[in-house]
Amino acid sequence: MKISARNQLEGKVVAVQKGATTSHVRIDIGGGKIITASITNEAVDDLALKVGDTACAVVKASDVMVGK
Amino acid sequence: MTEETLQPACPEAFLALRAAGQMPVGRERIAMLEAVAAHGSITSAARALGMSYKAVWDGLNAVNNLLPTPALEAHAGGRGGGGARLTESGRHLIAAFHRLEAKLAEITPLLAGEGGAPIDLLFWSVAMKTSARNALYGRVVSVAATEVAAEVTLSVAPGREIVAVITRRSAENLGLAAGREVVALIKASFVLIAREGEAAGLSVANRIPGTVAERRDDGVSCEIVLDIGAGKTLAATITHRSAEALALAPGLPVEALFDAAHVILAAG
Repeated sequence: MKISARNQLEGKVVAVQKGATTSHVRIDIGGGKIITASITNEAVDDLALKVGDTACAVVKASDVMVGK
Repeated sequence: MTEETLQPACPEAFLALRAAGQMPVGRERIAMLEAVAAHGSITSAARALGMSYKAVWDGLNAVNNLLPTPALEAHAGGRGGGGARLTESGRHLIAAFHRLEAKLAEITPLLAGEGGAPIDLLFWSVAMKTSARNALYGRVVSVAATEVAAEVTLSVAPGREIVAVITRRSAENLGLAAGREVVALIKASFVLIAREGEAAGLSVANRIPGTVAERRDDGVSCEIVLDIGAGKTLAATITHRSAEALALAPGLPVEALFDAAHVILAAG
């Protein structure tokens, strides 16, 4: 995928929880780390996302907060 | 806090140059349009105004983005090369501005006599500017609301739609319904760039095709301005590394991607 986002973390979908409009998709990116994405239900359907799929969490560098 | 303290002590005078379907445009940008009309190209207009080409090019793009139809048409030749001329919409805008200025000149002595604020101050408060690099005129196509959220679809140009997800309350406050004219504000840092067709499987609501019109680097960050058709432009700031990885250069067909939740809507 050629896209300008600096952070592209591949992993396995471990949960897809649908709400009224938004779904929470949990992606296990290894090392015991899980990333949660809040995306629309439509997007979940478009991508046919389901548990066990390989998916990529894409995060623009300017959207990352840093804590210390 | 009581009801009374929420009311402003005295109503603010607010004057805006706007006809139906037009968002406020300030004096300096009118001067840019006039200079292009007089000199036939952005390069000569910038020279006449004593401004950089970049400042005038940016200012005119901003005007085109805020109008239903562009005020200016650029001829082939691109940056620095070809000429530019006003459209019917641009001529109307300038004429309206001068009518307003003439009326203001008539009432200036009256205001001064009453000890009011200088007229120029009034005039400069006309067009609110925001820091958002992208301010695009749009017409609401549809609003789909849930208990909490509202998904608003706008048409910003023929064949170019933007989806915004805002709260239901905001949608109600702005009186959003099909046909309503709004301005979509999108911070440049919220916009991602992908090579054409390379980001098909991405959960992003807005996917706007365009060609790279300009690239500016500072070694760390990179600003990309896309020509998205119909005289409209969209700016994105990405990292220099990404711009290099995608080999972004003027003329390259790409897609601008941004989340529906990253779009702010403003209505007059």
